[in-house]
Amino acid sequence: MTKKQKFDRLLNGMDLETAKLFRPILMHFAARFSQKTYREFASDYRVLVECNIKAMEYFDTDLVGLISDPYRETSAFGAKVSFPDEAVPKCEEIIVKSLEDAKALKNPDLYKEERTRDRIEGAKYFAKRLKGDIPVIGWIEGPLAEACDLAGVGEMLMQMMIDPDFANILMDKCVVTAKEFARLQILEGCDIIGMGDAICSQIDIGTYDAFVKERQKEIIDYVHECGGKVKLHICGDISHLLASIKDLGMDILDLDWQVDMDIAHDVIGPDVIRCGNIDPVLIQNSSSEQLEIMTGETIKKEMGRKHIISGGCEITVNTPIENLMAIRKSSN
Amino acid sequence: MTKKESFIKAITFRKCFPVPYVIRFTIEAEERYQSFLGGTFDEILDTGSYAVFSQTNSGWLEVRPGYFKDYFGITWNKTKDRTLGIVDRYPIDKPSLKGFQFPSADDLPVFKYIERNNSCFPDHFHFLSIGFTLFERAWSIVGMENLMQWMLLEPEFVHDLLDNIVEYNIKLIQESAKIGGLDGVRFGDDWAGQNGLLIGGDLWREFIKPRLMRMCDAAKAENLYIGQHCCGKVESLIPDMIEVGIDVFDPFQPEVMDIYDVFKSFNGKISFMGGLSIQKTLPYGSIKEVSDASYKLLDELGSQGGYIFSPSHALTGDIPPENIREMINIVRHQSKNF
Amino acid sequence: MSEILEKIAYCVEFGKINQQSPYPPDMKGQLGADELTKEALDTGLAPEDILKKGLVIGMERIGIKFRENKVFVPQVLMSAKAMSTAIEHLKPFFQSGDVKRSGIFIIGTVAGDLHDIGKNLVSMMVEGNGWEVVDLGTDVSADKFVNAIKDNPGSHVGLSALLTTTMINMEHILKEVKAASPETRVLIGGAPVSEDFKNKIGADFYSPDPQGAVEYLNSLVA
Repeated sequence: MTKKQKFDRLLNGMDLETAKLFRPILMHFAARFSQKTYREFASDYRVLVECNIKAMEYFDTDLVGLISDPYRETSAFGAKVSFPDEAVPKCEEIIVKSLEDAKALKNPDLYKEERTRDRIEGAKYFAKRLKGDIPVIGWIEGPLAEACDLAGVGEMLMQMMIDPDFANILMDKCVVTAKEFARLQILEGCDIIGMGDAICSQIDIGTYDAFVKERQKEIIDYVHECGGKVKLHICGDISHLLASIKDLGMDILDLDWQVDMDIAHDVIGPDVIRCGNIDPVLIQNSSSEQLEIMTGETIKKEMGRKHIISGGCEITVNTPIENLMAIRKSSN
Repeated sequence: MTKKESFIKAITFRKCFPVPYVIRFTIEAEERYQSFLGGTFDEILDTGSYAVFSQTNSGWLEVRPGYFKDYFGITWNKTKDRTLGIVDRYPIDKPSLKGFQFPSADDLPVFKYIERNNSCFPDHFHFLSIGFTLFERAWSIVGMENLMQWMLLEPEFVHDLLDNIVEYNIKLIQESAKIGGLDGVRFGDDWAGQNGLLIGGDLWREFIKPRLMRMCDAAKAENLYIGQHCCGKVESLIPDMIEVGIDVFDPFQPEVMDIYDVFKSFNGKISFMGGLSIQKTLPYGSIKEVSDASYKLLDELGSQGGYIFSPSHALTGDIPPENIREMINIVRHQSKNF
Repeated sequence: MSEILEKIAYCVEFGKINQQSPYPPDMKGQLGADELTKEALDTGLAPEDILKKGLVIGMERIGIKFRENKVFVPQVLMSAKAMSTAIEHLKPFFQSGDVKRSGIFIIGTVAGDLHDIGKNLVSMMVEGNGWEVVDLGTDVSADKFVNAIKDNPGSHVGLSALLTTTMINMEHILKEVKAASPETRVLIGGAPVSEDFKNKIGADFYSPDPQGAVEYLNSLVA
């Protein structure tokens, strides 16, 4: 059975007692594992894909991904982004500073712009290298996350309160670009679109419902229309949002270590695959024996449920190789 | 929305996103591109083209290596130019139809292509593509120089010859339409060279236009959209093409007309397919130039409706594969929502 | 210029071949280039004058009209036909040396390309302007051009191509021609050919229309 078939069976609720899928979010770790700098990983799709494949083969992960940093779309919108050797790319400027800026902001041509094109090429390269045997997770920024990238987190969070027009105009544009970016990655063979909207863990459910929920849902529906599955990723504690998130219709929900997996299961329901949620700090700092125990506990709890074993968020660059391997081994 | 629906939307002057496009290859270009990709390549699937063409100019009999006989019994030398070829010998050398048998439009290979395209590409806009429609068909029978001289010296004969060809074409359209699945018919007839009309507007209006109108009427009676392909500097005939009912004109060559200006002048009356130079930009431009020209077409024309993106001819074997790949990537990944 | 020479020029310009020819309709029944040339010779006009002050003038006029898109290929073909019919009467004088042509022009469509109508138009116009034309046909290799130059010392060469795919063969042929005969002028033309391309490969002359080629060739012998 290919990993793609294994994933399809999980989607359909099959083999829940016997098969366990493994998908840690690997970015900087994967780059280091292939002796590449993060600059190379984030700026050249070939490097990103090869690093992913090498890690996938070594750690026997079940899915691969195109995630690298939040500034692909931001760069396409016109912001200057720099690439430190060993850190996540940095956005050098805030480009939406006023209502006028928000109104004037143009949705970019994603294939024309270097950074978004690079990810689309990455999707194509994954398809060529893996020939459809391994599910590929593309990546887009969620509407609030992208708005924060463009306007600044603090500013954007305040604008939702003091100038809803500004927030709405900007986020509407983010939705357009998110949908387009998702469509193009699916066109090139991505099976799943990951949507990162981490900042949502920092807002209350009222604000989430007023500004974010419908927009996320619009994107998720559109990805489904395009033939893709959706993995919603909001790191941090989203226990307070679960009651709303359950309506979004995503296929996979990433849950960080702060969220109680049982409660999430009860609120979200059994149809959504939950992905998580061992604390990445513990994955880095524990012994491999401790990790085997933690993994075993998670798996026991998730037996018979739709679940993918993973860290609560990205695996840190300094995580010992044997620690990650311990999770894989004990989840088999 | 299916590709067919998008295509129709665009040629009926409605804004359509993504901008529909058509990319076609000559044999030489397809072979080169395929070997560049190092794998299989399907012209329609791998480009994402919006239209398929069931062509009358195919399914010919190879009578000896490199020589093919068409349905009119004309032998074409394809030893050098494997896609177009050139007439080996003209069957008529005196202004008389005596002894020349026009073919019947029954049981042609193109009917099988129509069925095949119907089943393989139900979502695409489907053209019956009649290559060598009228003027070209006539000169393929008598030779171009004879045809042109006889238009002046033996007009009765030329009228007779063209009438016979039109009868055949109309029957061909009707028989093809019976199969079902067609959305349009595309006439292929080069009336112009790089610098201007070959026979001029007066002779064209005398010999070609009334017959083109008859064929258009026959196609409209079958509810088909009408495409007209004509290479060369043919701008002066566009009002006539509009008058007879052409819906979409190609190849819209930037070397011979100011395509942006022409588009502006006629937008809403006829739609255009083509625009990316296969004489300059694609064979000799850098990847950047191909990219710039493609985006300009998509941004300035595609954004308005009435435009189908396409190279200004089937791609030729001298075009660097890198340039083809760039163009395909750009049209496949359109994301600028107008 | 005598009246009859002007009439001959007029017949060539308007494609009136002979009295019988129905074209052009407004000259129906009138004498054509054929009869008028014969008549001119009979009245003792110099063959050279008939050529250069009659026929060539007519060809020049049609060439200019063609360049200006005032007439089209059919009309040029008719003019060429009128011209060639008239020239039949002058052939004996070419052979005897009484009439000198302006020079010899070798023309062909380059290797790989089988298209000939553009080449034929240039050929007719050049011939109609008093040059002897050696037409090598289509798909002509560098060797054939070189051999033709050897057979016709002092000649000049025209290369034609319709396709961008074959246009590139001009460069190779040009090199071979120049290596064998540096003084031979090489003219290029055809739909995709441009001044830029001419400069790039180092040809001597490019014209988008046949009349340009005629004028250039005439300038070489002026």
